[in-house]
Amino acid sequence: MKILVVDDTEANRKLLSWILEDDGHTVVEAVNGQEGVDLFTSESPDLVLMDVMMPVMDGFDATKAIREILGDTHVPIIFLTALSDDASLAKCLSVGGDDFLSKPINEQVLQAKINAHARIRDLNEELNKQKVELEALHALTEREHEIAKAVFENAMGASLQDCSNTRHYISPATTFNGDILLSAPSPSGGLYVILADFTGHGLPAAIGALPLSQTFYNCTVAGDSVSDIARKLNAALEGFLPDFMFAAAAVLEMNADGSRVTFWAGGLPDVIITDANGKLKETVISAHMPLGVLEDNEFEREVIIRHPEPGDKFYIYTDGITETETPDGVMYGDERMQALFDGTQKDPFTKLLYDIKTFRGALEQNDDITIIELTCSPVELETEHDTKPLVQGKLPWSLSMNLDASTLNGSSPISQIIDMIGASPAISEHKDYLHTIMSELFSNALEHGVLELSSELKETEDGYLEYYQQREEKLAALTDGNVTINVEFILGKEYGKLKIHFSDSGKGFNVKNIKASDDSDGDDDAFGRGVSLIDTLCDSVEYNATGTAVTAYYTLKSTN
Amino acid sequence: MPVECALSSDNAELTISIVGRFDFELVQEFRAAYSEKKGSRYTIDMRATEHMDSSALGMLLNMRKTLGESAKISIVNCRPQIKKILTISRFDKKFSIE
Repeated sequence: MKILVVDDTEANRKLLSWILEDDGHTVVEAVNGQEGVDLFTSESPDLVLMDVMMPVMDGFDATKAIREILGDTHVPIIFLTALSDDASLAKCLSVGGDDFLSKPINEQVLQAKINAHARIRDLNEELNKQKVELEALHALTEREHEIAKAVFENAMGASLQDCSNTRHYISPATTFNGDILLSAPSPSGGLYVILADFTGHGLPAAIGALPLSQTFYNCTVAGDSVSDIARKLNAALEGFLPDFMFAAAAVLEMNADGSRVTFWAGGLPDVIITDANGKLKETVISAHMPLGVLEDNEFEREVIIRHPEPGDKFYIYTDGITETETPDGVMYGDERMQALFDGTQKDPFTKLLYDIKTFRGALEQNDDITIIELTCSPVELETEHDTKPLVQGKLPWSLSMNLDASTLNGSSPISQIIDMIGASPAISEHKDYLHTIMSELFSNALEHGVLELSSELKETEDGYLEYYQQREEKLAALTDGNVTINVEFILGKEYGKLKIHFSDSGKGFNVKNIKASDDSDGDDDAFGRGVSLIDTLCDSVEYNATGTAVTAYYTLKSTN
Repeated sequence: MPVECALSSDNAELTISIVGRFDFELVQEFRAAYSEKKGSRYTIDMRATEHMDSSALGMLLNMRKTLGESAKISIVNCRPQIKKILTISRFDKKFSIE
């Protein structure tokens, strides 16, 4: 150990040095308090033996100065004093000394005290080391939380579709939310909403949000039904989460005009449905198990369907609301909540949030709270449309196909043709209509031309079946006959145009016979709609005199 | 399965979903879907229907005839191009199209 001896009496210093060096310590000597402080800084001793009465600076002031320099670290300072009154001894300790030794020095007591203080110093060092480690660990955890939070927020990014039909309130109990609220538009113009409450809260609960949100968005883009979404979410969570973790959830879809709400609910508090004035119409219990509990083959996919009046409201919320407690442990509960929906509240949603907060009083929120209000009216999404000018192809082209008996007796060639021509940028947007037009033209050429089937069969429901049975039989027996298809892309000033030509080897048929009359009495006929469809979708349609060929024109206008 | 049926949990509503192409190849399956007359309300869910042709229109009209004029039949979640075909054929007179 390196020991600093501060004493103005040379004899004392020599005596101490002699004892200490004999015990294997290194000794640094200072002749007064000031020099003691200076040497303390430059030599960093492990222990200090301090005389009290010294010129320039006494032991008390020197000790104070050294304590100042040390801050939180600990180096024992032992006073060596000839004073023996209580006040002086007390002062030794109060200025920052750790112990005192009376002069004349007893060698054995000196050695014992030095050893004792060395032990304290070691303990102190160990403690400090652990403190530094702990602080580093804490900083690391905080940083990891920051990273996780950033990933989490990105993954959940734009998680709520801006939509004038919904209002929501989300209040996590910690940095990470174990409640997930997501919404997304459906391909047919409606709105999907999911609210999920994972077991527990904080980071572990929030982790489940990632597989849940990814699955949800995959489903909504594909336009899946509510029961399919619920099933897929269940499978994703069942495979992803540990057994003791699952999510109480509701998955809901409202159609584009807000007249139909389909939902699946498992493990959440009752869904509340009110009329436009906020009067309770119905509460719907969550009948299913939470997501992530049942295996895929046990999963219950039955949904609840409601046909609300315009302005009706649906409230879906997590148990953080109903389980809010007063400081005395009284729970807010379903009854208190449902009482808000008596039709007298101007804005039950805001009132509820206010109530919860006052109910809890000074108590800290101990669970995540989430609620969404959905108003049943035509879905208004706040999205931007990008209208980019359509690229018209630069080169004219044509495609022709001659189908004989053996190729006609396979699946329809139309999908393949559409795939081929649909690759052209001018056409891709029109694929669906062209598919319809060409399917109709092909059916007519094959069924009425080559196979000579009569539409009149289709007049009854049984005849309808019969018609298609005959189609199948005749097609299977077909040895002769063909259908020729020509598609030509003609460049136009603004938009390109398609010339579609079909001809067949049949005897010819009269289009008028298979065209449903437009008079009111023709509305019920289960046939003849194909020809009108073609007429409406195309610019012009011309049949040749014998009824064996047809030419249709279709302009590739941008429909945006 | 191109034709899927699901009864709502209160057994009131039968939802028939058509997946992929709605054309004559589904004629028997589609008929079987509604012929047991389960439920008091019918919904044809077209969310996954990519194309339909005039034979599908005929099948829908047959369904209307079989179930009678008073039956509630809705066609829901149509893509725009399918909706246009239904509108052109004036199916909005016989079905509620959402």
